[in-house]
Amino acid sequence: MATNFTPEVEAYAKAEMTRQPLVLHKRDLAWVTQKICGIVEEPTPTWWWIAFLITASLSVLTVGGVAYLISTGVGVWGLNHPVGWAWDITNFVFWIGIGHAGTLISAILYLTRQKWRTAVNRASEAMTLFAVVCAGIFPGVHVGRIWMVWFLAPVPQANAIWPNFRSPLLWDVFAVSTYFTVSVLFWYVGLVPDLATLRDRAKTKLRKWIYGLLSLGWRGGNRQWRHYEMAYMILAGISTPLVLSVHSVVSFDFATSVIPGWHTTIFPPYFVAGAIFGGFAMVLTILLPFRAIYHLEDIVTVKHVEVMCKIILLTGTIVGYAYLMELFIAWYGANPNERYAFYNRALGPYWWAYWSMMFCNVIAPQFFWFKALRTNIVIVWVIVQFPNIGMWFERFVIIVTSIHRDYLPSSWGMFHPSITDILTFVGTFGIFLTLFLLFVRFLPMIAIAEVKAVLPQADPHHHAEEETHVHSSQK
Amino acid sequence: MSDHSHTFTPPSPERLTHDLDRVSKISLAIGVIALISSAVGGYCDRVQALHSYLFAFMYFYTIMAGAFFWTILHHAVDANWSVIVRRQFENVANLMGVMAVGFIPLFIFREDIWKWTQPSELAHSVLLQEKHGYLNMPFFIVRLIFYFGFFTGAAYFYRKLSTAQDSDGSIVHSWRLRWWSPLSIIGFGLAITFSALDWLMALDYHWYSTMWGVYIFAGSAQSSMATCILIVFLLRKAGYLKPLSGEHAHIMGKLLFAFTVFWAYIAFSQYMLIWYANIPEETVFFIKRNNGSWTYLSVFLVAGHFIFPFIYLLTQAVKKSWASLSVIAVWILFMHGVDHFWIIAPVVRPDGFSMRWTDFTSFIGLAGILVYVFIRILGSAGLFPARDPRLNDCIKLTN
Repeated sequence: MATNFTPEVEAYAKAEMTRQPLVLHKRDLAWVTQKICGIVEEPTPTWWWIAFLITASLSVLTVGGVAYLISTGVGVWGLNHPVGWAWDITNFVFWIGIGHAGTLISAILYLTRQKWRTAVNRASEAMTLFAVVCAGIFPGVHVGRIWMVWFLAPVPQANAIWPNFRSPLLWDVFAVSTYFTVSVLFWYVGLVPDLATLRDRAKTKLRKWIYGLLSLGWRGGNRQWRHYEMAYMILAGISTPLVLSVHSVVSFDFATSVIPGWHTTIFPPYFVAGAIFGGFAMVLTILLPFRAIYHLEDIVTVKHVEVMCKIILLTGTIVGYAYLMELFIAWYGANPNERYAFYNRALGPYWWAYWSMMFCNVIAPQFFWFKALRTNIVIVWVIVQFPNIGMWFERFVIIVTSIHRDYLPSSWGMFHPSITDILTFVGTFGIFLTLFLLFVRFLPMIAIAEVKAVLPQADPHHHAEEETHVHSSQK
Repeated sequence: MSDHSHTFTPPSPERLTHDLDRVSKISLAIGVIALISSAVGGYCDRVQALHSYLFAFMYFYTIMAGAFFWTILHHAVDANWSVIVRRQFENVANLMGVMAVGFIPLFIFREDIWKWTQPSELAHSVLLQEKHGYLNMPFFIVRLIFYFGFFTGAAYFYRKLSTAQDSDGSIVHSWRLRWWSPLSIIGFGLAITFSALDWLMALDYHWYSTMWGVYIFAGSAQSSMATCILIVFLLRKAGYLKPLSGEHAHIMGKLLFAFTVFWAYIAFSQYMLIWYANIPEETVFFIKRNNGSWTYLSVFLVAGHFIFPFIYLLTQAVKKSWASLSVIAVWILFMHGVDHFWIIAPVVRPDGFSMRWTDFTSFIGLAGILVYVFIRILGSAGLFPARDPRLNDCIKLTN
């Protein structure tokens, strides 16, 4: 029964099945330290200042937009009746989703022992935090009277007004704040050994003092490493349900209602898959340019990019499954309102948004079936722009198309964003990128200690082998 | 702890050496007798007996589909750890052919199970007429052919190449299997979703939930992992698969834990959203199962399918021991049965929880036949892919 393959086929399959090293060109431990710390230690490059000026100026748009909103009132947004929720909540969900890739990489891929994560986890976790910061702005300001926003927290107060615990909007407050807290802790715990490395290499007193303060007296002793590993593991365990819960709770904002197009049971896992999809697209969008600028090709290898493309393909396809399942059940359920909601999405006045979403989220990632496309960095960067756009449209489609047709045709309407809407949103990209630029400038953008741990030198077997070799040659 | 020597001798291929011929024949005999009794039961009360049979059928079908899922997942992510246990997933998935034959009674007596298949129902139900584009016989048959064609064909393919590698050791097989796996995932997703919709959701054609396919998938992946843990445990007891260590048990335990939580997540989301929105055409499903003594079963399902295994599997030591892991595997397999009983039985026993003897005979009947076939499959090839290129990495595994 044995099949005989030609030697060429055998050789091809063997090459295909050979595992690639995670760090290329046999780089050693010192090279890793030097390479990554060098990014922080070198004098601030001119391009960084230019980029920083641009992004910082952009973020002024959000600051201005929010100031204008608070001083004038919600009327400065394009909201109307019946579309009482539009860009604010779309932007909130969009940014919250971006964060999910970071948590997936840092927590779930850690628990599943995916060693390739070490090259990208630090930067993605940073993106998580910055994305949540951008997301947090919108629910914060859309309450109308922002000075009342603390009412969302269940604190005892004179008016004896308690938040409505049955409202998913309140669950959101808890979910997102928990997510942010745990993500910060997780990120910071991972940073400690690397901050100590920066401290030990610091040339000026001030630097030494600041990094010393932040590295919490890390000496790299055996006991410290043991505690560190345990803390990291526990935080990964806590973060994993958070990856699922945050976006599930966000999906509850819509799915608990009875509005056609919002109420569907697949929403929680579908939102989570979409968030990871959009998050990975953003990670690649930001990371690939920095990979080129800092010549990190040996650490963030083409293989890493390829794997992330595969995750985008998978999650994009899951999102496609959910879209089609929604469509199918809307038809199968045979509820005329539900059927109309989906018919209207696809063929109504917002058809362009719907089909943009379909193309960007379902069709575009299918290009990643082809290895030639996954391994071409420029093409990858171009393709991942589609999920970035598509995931924004997805939330817009879900939110606006479901409510712009009320039950009575007399209450039908259209949403047109105001200039304040647009500029406030554009400004959040400024905030996101500014924070990221600061991160790259002051903190190690790749987890030094973790990358070292996946080098072949970190494996006890490897050392033994080399030492035996050296010893025998010395004799 | 870990072995520091560099010379690593791969484990020699293992075949089943125990003579299980007698066991398998006894099992077949029990199975046949039980199925005959089910048929007798069907003569007395056809509708109840058919639902009993559907329950047993879905129980095993989902386990086989899940085993297929783990096989293709192994190839898709090119995993190391699962090489040595993969053959067992392949074996279980290859029982799908039996299920294809086992569907015949359901197909013949479809009108007693799926009301929509009755022509009279179509004539007077406006709702059904609206759904006729999907719920019609020709399309139902096309889908049946797809489900069983896909599962039996693909499961055969994955095991065939895997066993071919046992004899010729060519790496090309591994590469081909990996190449096909992402496409198989798409086929799997469609097959498990729509078979769940066709056979379970359409028990009441009024009801619908977009989550249904995911819900059935979650239980399917969980219970098939439990099945495989149990098979490996038994094989190890019998002296096989010795290169497997507690590290492998640990990983399987973690995946079992993960899918226990995933099942709960999906089940909770589906329940909570339907409860919260409170739309009559959706709540009908849960109202039926929160009626009378069914309520106790619903509560038991939550506690037994999620809370207990969740707590049990939390600690590391439990997951690292094959014995303690197989205890919970047995429990999860029991709860998988409760889950499917809870889905199917209330449809025909609206007054409250009750069991019929046909529930047991159908289950024992299918189980007996499946054990018979499984032993044949088990004996027909090596117990693990002995010449898989990743076998060494698999055995040297540390968590």
